[in-house]
Amino acid sequence: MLASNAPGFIVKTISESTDIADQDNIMTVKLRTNFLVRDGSTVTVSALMGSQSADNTTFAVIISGEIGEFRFQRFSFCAVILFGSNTVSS
Amino acid sequence: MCSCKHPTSRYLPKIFFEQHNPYAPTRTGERLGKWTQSTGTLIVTLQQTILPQTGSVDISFILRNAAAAQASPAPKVGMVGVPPQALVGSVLSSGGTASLGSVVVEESGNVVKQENTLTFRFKANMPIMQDAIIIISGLTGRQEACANEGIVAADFTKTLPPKEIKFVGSA
Repeated sequence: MLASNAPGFIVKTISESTDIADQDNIMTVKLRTNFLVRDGSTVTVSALMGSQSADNTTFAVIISGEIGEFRFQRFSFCAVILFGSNTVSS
Repeated sequence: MCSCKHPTSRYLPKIFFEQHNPYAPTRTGERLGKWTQSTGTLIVTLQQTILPQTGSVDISFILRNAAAAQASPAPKVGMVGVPPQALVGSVLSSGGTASLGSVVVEESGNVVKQENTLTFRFKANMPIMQDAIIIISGLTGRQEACANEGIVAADFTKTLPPKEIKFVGSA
């Protein structure tokens, strides 16, 4: 049976390295999905209100956990058909 | 007379089956996202793939905490095809006080007139970034000649691989 669920996040947590005011804070968002996320997908984290960090279109983000190369295991087999048109004559 | 013909073999085109490799290596990389302060929104594009169920991804970035304590916001996360969902966790409250939660010091030996390696371990509740200065004081009673430093009359820095320790001289 191919029961279909809506695409969503199995794990969606956010944590921080410090809660000290006026300090740089390393935020980490951990995600796990119930669907295959293709390269080129865009993730949007919103409502992180109150930060002093100014707008930045080249905002440095470290992403870990992605598959380095989307590799497939490839299995193959070939079928051999023997055509034996053997005839024996004496 | 035998008129046997050699059997002829014909190969069908290979048939491939493909499946995701659950053991494919993961990697870490830096990306450039777009941060909008007024809405607290970060948009970043993944350049690789995340496997369903088993694979997970960590997205890390640095934000400057508010100058004063505030109520923790309720951040959300979404993707194309996935409406924004609330993230689990409390962040950006800026309500903490800087402290060293754990300070442990160990020495390699306590034999008189012998060199003694002291090891300090710190656990802080805030990042200790590059150029941070750690001051260790109160290390009185050491034999001055043991490390060829003479009397500590002024602040100086001694590099002890792989760490750098700043000694603070007495006033």
